Amino acid sequence: MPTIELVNVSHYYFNSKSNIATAGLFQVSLILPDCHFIIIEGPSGCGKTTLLKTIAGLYTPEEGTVLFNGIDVINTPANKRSVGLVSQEYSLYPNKTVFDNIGYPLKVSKVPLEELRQRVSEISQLLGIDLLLSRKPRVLSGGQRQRVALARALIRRPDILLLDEPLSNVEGPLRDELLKLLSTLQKRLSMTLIMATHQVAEAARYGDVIVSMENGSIISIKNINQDTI
Amino acid sequence: MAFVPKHETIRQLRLPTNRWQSFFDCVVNKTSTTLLLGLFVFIFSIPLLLVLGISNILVYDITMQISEGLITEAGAATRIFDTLNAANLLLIPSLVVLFIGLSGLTRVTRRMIFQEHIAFIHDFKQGVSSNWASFSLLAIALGILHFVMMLLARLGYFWEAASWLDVTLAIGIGALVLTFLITPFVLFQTDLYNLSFGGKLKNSFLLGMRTAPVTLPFMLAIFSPWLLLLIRYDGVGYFIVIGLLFMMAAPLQFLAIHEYTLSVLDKFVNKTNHPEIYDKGIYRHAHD
Repeated sequence: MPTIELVNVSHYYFNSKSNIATAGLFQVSLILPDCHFIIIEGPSGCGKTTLLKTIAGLYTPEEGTVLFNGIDVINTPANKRSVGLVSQEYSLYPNKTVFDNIGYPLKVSKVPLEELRQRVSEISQLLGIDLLLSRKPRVLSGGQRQRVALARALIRRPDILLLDEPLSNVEGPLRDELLKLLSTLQKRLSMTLIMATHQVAEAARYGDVIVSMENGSIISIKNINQDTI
Repeated sequence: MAFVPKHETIRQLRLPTNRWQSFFDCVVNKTSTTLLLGLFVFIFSIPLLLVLGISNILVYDITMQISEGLITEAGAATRIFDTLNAANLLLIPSLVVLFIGLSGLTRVTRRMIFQEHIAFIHDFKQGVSSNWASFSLLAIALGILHFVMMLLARLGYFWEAASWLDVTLAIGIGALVLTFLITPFVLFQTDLYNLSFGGKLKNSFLLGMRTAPVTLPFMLAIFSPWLLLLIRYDGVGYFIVIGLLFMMAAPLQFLAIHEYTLSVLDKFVNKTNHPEIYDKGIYRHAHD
């Protein structure tokens, strides 16, 4: 599992009308340990999503570099980084069944049908959605859709799982159950889990490290169980 | 480790909580697969339909020849006897073709019921390749049984022996009852367990006898739509009824019998011997 390192990373959003550049990330340097549950917190617009998308390879920073285990991955495309990303909108295909949604990344990679079925079956049982495989996303509750999106991200067995505000559409006690599930999954699959969230108090009960952000910069990194790192 | 949500509104989805609900769930949520089942049943029934259709036309032709005075009644009776015997013999390979089709469809319906992913052609082929031998053996056994029973009945008719007819009728009804009781269990065990044909027959006989008070009325009720064939229709009406029976009724019957058989197997076999498939496809946490 890779240690993630960002070295002086800056990413700007350009407004072509006003010709003004806004920093999504500004000279961010950060080392994230592997096999940990890392929480990225901060107010809206502080750069949490930009940070996740930069790690995922969806954004290429204008300055700085990203290293996985000391290897520069800045030119490595997103699909080669062994990173799974779940956005807050879930982005499920409404016309496909839950099975097809989960299995889509493997289908694209031309994984044989029997192996695909086996892997979808395993991950759906793990997430408690095995009876929903023939359903379409529209009939699912928010929590179920969230788990489908999670399953789709996990099906490729990524080393790093990035979650962008995964609890924003989930209410009540289910939030705590999902956090517990994420923590269990992270430990069971020995992966690095990075979750951006507003609800840091809730997430802190299960996370290992909290990274606080403001205006595109890191303001603190705190190891929950030990002292500041 | 499985994540079981405690607070989720999973019941709002109306996931099936028993095999009866599972049947309706399959029909409602997998309509296109159910229609494909009907099409496949129809395709694999074509040899059977041809044998029945052609033999009926031939018999009709012979009776017309009697009315036109072209042949004597005795001569016609012999020809009808020969025609129907030949048709009943040809029914055996036709049944084998139908049952080979059913061997593939069994895999598809099993996956429907277990809420598993279905790739129709792929699963159909896999079902055929793993189940065809047992299904064919059963088809041959049923075909021979049918041939012998019909032959005995016709011999009784020829010899004008009323007591013989009564005996063959009684044996025929007994054979039909046994067929209704045993066949579904043989068919649907084939796709579940790795048993010899003899082992399946023995299991099925025991299960059939044990559940006879429920299985028999269930099977009679399920097959009751086929009584529509006894009604006389004009012109295309007959073909419309046959089409509807094969395309619509047959797949639903097949699915319903599969669900029923699984409920029996769950109760008597799977709960203790195969817990991994016990109640599979049913939402077990409905009463949490």
